[in-house]
Amino acid sequence: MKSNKMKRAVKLSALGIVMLLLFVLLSWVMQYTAISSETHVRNFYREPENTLDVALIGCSEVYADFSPPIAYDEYGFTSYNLAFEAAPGHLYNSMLDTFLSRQKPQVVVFEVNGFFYNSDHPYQEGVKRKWIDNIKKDKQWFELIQKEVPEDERVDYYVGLLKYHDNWKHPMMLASRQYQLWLNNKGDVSMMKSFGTRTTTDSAVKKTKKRKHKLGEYGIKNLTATLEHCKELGLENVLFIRAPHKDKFTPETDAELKKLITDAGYDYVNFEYDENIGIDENTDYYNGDHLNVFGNEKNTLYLGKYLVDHYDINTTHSEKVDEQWHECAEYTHNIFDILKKKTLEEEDVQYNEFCDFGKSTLSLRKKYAEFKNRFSGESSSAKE
Amino acid sequence: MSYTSINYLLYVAVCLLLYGIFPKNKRWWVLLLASMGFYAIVCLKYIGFIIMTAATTYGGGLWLESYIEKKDAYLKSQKGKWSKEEKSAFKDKVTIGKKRICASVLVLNFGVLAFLKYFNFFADTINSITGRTSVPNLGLFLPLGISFYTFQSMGYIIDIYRKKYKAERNYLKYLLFVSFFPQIVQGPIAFYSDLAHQLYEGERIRFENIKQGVLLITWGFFKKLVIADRLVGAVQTVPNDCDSFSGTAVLLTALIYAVQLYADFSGGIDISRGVAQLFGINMAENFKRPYFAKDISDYWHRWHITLGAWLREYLFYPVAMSKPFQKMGKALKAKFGMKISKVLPVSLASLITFLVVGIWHGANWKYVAFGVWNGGIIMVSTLLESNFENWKKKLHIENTNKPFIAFQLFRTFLIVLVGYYFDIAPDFSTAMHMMFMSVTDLHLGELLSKDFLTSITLSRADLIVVLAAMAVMLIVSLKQEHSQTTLREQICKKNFVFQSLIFIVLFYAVVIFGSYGPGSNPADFYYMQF
Repeated sequence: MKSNKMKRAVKLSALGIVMLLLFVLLSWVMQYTAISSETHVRNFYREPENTLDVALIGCSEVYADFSPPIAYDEYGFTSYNLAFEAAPGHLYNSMLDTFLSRQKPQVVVFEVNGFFYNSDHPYQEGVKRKWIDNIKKDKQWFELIQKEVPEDERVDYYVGLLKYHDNWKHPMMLASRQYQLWLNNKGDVSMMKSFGTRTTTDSAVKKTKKRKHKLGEYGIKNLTATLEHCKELGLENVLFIRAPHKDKFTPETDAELKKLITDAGYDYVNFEYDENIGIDENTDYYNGDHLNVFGNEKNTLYLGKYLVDHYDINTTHSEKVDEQWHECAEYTHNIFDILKKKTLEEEDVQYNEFCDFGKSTLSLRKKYAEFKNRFSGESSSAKE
Repeated sequence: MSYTSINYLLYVAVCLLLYGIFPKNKRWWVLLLASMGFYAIVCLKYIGFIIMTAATTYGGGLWLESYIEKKDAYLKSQKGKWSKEEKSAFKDKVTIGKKRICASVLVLNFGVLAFLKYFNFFADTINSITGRTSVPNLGLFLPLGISFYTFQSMGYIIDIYRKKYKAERNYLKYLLFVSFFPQIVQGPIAFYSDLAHQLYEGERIRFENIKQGVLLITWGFFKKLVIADRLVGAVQTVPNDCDSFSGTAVLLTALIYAVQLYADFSGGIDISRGVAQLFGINMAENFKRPYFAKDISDYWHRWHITLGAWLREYLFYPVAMSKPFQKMGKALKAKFGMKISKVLPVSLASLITFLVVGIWHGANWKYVAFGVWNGGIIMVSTLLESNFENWKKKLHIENTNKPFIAFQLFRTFLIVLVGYYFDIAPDFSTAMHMMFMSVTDLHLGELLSKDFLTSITLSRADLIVVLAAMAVMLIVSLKQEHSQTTLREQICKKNFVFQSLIFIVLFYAVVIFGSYGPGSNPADFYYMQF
């Protein structure tokens, strides 16, 4: 009798384990947030602990406009763009906490765009999902759901399959995600430290959509919460920036931001008006809000310099870390070369750090060098 | 807390755990608290109604029983003292007294049900006739499961009247019988003699019951979430604006409704019966593959069986055996002969029963038409039954003839389908209009059009899943139809790996292909509204 009960318990346990494994597998396979956001967030966890000198937090402006490997190559500090599309300001604190849970950055940089999303952000659930569903399922994740999600919707976040099970209707999309994740997961770390761009300059001929950049009550609430959180954490080197945009802040908005941030004892710089970056509105944007690779390179070098000039960043790393970052820098330069070529050809395709760039990047770089020489020759003769 | 929600499953799990922990004689307490707790969570505002129904029928039962016992004792004490006539007169008096008590309980409870169910309808009708708000619409809502628990408790009081069993002495135990949570939403309607002792027994939790219960619950979820809820949008779209669609779309909607309603109702009942089985309680079957019915009577013996049984027991037989009907039989015998005198009163009783079924569905002429249609068909087929038999003999058609069986199935389904038009249409005239469209405006080529499915809010993916799920349901139904034991009993006799495989496939079919979660269009169980 006893042995029968034992046998049954073993069998049921085996069934339970199979059910659980299938559940975990399905939850993983069926999930779809947006592959770029997913990789930007997940790749952060692949960085070795306590190896990043600078944290960059924000929306798409961050990973489109700044390249950590290029900054490393030039100034020696390591950094990571913990950013995803349309990241709202109310999630910045959680993004910061996530960064600090694994790293001890000497400087934290926030791009302020997230504070300009209203509470009726049309993609409210989508943007929350991009963050919540891709971070580690730990205590912070649990508490974040409690804080951010209405009570009756929480279970859909805890059990992601409740939301994503319907993705069986999109098998190609799911397969594509798995393929892209496979590409992304090659190597130990993310080579470009969160990146996304479009190979175009066509925004030069398109009219930039004017938006009302007004912080409003909701934005002030979120910004204040972030400032207070930074203080609670005892952070000293915190820089709030406005990345270059074609549609610039009004002086009033700029002043309001500056006052709120500097009153809290932190720094604020608006790079929209800074001509020293050398951004050319006709060639360096892929749309009104984001720089293409040409702009990214200029902005990275400028912001990188600003950081090393204004903050005392210790750039000493272990040999292994430096070796890895050198590799990343070389890879990024190669990819940038390819992307520049594609941009000049007005290919207009979206690229992320995990994209399959095909043939050997080095041979392409060579070809690009020839192309660049010819192009610069042509443009200089045109100027003449 | 819907039966298909995670919260409900957790609720059941906790109740089951407590049920297992409590000693045998206290387990009914767990069921009672679980039932009252469930009612309070879902419908706290109206909990007074169910408590009141239980109280009045409980009190009525005791009163009736004590009245009968007293009168019987008195009659016994007069043995040998009274003449036959005196005895008979006393018995008549007692019968009147019994009827008065029973009727008072019935009138009170059916009155409450009728008031809540039909007051708004009458108020609106009177106001539309008078052209002003003569009677205010009170905006009444139906308490959860009022029809089902009212029917169940009225059955109890009538059975006490008929001296079928002893009245329950413990009010709380009786309240459990009225409010048992797995069945409160939409049945199955149980007879006191079948259910009560199982509730009070405190049956220990058995692995076999758990296995079968879980399998039945999962099967119910499959029918409800994979089939019914995926089709509910299509059923709602066309009838509300049928003139914007072709007859093809209208006909397809009626066909979809036939599938959706069956999957919804039988799926819900499977969940109810499965949950009850976890506690070792066997509830009556409510469906026996109704679309395999060979005639409309057979259909009503397979569809909503427990309501049919209740109506037969407490309405059809009392009406058919009533004095006016017996008199009618005698009168007909003298004029039309034996056959008509037997068949016509029975047919008329059927018609009345179905009229009641129709009206029970709702205060709307379309439901009256639904009752008349079903009752009328049964009446005509009963009256002409011998003629059909003669024709069959002349044409040398055997009952086992497969094409004939196929014809019978098709014919019955068609009759049922006509009845469904009254269900899906917002009113009687729209139902008639939709039927007309289905016959006169058919363009079958339309089915091949890309936009056709989208127009009735179905995607190709939905259709593929539903068709696959229907194929599974058909295979299961065919296997079940030709078997004496239930399919889950057969599965549970196989080895553990096979059982597990069936469960895993079914469970994950629900998890993946079920229509639930954010962005879905979850629908309440259809019969919940009645």
